[in-house]
Amino acid sequence: MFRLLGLSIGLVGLRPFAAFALQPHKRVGDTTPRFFTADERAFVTAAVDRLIPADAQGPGGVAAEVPRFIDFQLAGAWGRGDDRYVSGPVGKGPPTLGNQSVTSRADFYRASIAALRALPEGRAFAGADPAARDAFLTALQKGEHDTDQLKGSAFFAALLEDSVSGFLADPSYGGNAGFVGWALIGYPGVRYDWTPYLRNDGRKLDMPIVGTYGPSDNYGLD
Amino acid sequence: MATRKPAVDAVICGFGATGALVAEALTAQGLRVVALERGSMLTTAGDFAPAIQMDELRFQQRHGLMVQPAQSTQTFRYNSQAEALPMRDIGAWQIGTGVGGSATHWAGQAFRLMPDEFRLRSHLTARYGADLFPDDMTSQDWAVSYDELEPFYDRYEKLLGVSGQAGNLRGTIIPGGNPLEGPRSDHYPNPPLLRMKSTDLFDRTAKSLGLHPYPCAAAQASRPYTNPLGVRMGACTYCGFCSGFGCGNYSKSSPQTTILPVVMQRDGFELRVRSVVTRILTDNLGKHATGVEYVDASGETFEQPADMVFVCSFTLANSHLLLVSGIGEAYDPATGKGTVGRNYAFQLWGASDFLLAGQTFDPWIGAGGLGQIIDDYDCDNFDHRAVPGKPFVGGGYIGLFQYGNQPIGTLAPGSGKDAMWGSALKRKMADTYAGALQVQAMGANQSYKDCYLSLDPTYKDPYGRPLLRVTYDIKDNDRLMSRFLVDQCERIAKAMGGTILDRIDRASPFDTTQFQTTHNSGGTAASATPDKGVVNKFGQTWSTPNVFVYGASQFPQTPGRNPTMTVGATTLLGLDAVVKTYVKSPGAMVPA
Repeated sequence: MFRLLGLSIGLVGLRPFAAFALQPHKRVGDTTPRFFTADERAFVTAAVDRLIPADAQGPGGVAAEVPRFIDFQLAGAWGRGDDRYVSGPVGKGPPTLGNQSVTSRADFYRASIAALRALPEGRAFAGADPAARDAFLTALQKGEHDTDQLKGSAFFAALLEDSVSGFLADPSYGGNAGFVGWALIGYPGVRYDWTPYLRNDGRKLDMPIVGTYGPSDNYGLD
Repeated sequence: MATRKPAVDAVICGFGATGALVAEALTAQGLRVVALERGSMLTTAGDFAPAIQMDELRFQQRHGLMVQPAQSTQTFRYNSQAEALPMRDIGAWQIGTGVGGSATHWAGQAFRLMPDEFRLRSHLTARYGADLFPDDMTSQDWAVSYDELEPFYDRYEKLLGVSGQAGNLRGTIIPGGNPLEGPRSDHYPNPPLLRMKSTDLFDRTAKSLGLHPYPCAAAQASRPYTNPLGVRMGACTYCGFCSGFGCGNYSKSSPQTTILPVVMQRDGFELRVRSVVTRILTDNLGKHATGVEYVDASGETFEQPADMVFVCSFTLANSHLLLVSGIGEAYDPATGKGTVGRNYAFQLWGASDFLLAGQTFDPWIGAGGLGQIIDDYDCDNFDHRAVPGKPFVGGGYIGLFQYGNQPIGTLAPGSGKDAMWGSALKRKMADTYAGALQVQAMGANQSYKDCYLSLDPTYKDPYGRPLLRVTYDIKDNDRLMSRFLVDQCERIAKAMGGTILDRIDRASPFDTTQFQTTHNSGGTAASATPDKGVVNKFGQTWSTPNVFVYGASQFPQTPGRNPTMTVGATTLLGLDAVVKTYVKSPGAMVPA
């Protein structure tokens, strides 16, 4: 009896945890903007929604909270360009000698969005339908909005690069919410010991996706 | 005015792979040694724990273990008439910082060079004639031979717990190993890493093409291992986080996992981190070093007097420190005089990316040294006259590695005006991640009269010193070699059943923005005579006999293989002489 009781208490003791884990996933998280203004956030969200769209293949970049990832990245040391060499005269050279601009990534986003929003179709972009947004992004990528003041195609490349990073980075950085990016490509996450699977030979793995903080995808962000 | 520290027997500038070897060798003799490291202390338990390191964004994408350009970078130009521009971002190479240096984030591909490599010019000249070498090529024979270096390769493999399969044991060919390698005095200390579906497929295909595949020697311990210093390593768990990351499992060799647990306990050893050596100090005649000047984290300047100065920074920083200190004579390509900065070369890494549609290779699993290799196109293992087009100097190994492919780096969308996006990009990501493979070539790179390191006249580092200036481009000989090697990669990829996705070979102008390898070499070449290099075969500078320089900066050109084991072996060979000869009787160990 005592044993059973003990077991019973043990199970009861575990139940609240189990029940919590079984609740439908509701992501709360810190969505307080760190860098973007409301207009900038709306612009980037509208772009991410087309660069990595929700479609028959699964959720897209907005559901993965990629705009939040980009916001957090631009607000930090990388966005500020703390690591870059910004001394000395700013010279000109071929692209193969690297980006000579001493403008930070964050300032580049801010200036580019401001310049694009000064265009009629740029101002309308955040509220435009998907086809209109695709047309605008295509023109941006092809350099049709490149001017002396606006490196439109370079901004497109930055947006695309950062969107993919946010879709596929560990969720602790604010993107890849619900591991949707990793689920799309079939990446099972970070695991310390794969030794038993060396001869898995491509068989489907029956295991939950885990990030650096385990199976929760919003660690440290609530 | 610099604060003067108590004098020591030896000061080490930079505490990575070679600095740790110097500290171990000298403290074992009871000498007093101070090591100065520009970066932070890094430990396996504190900094490399799996929950910290298994983070692609922080380490591979944002270069968490690398020196930031804001702290140290180079300027770059394609010829000696052009104005150089600074590398404002990390690009073609990724240089580590902090204790362990680049030996904490390396992949762990533990290659020896082949015997012919050490007599590159004389061997190829004898076989093909002197015309094979273009007039402006300065590639030369090494200062050491394979036979001289072999015992030190063996010692370094045991120190690092290398996992591999011997192919030539004292002249006896052993099945399963590399039949083309130089004779080894002993087996590897550990058996090869486990193999996977991808490397098996490469192995089968290479054999069907008449090639000679063998398992890459890996600096990941394939089983629990205790090295000759008594330091214990754990068996690799194939987590897939090697290149760009520190190992939290005590499996990948680094100074932390092989040497530091012993050295840090030794009497007479002191490590000072966040201490940047700004110059080597010399006496009035400039022929004898008196110590070094360094700046600590608070910005205070110190003088560290020492009887011996060991320059053990990364390749590029080694030349930089000599140049800003006036040790030796700076190379001048116009006159050919001077040797510091001469014989700079990079590594012409190339590859064929391909897809086996519908297949899954478990790309998240892997280790930096888990691969199958062929040496059929390295050194003189193929007839250089029989290649299509013009014969060239050089070659390289070809292989397939299962590193553990992290998602962002594998699926980066590209920055061109036709880069894919939208649903098409999602489809490509979903379709290619698991089924894409890469056959790669580690191409050699020759040295040339006008490829060299010097001080930049315009751009400065945070300490007011000129940045190091790299003058470099890819020459016709090397472009032909790269094309030939990548052609072989593609041939194997197609024979494996792959659909080619991408071809990466090297042409002019050199792209400083795309990461290739960190294998820079030269600048302080080791040479048989003082006119051809900066140091003798023991790493002792010809000009200033109490200054020693270790690292790939000793290489007279870049071989078609990864540098680390040769860096370690040449350092151990030099230290053997320092301990046996120099310490007892200071002075030049090789007559000039």
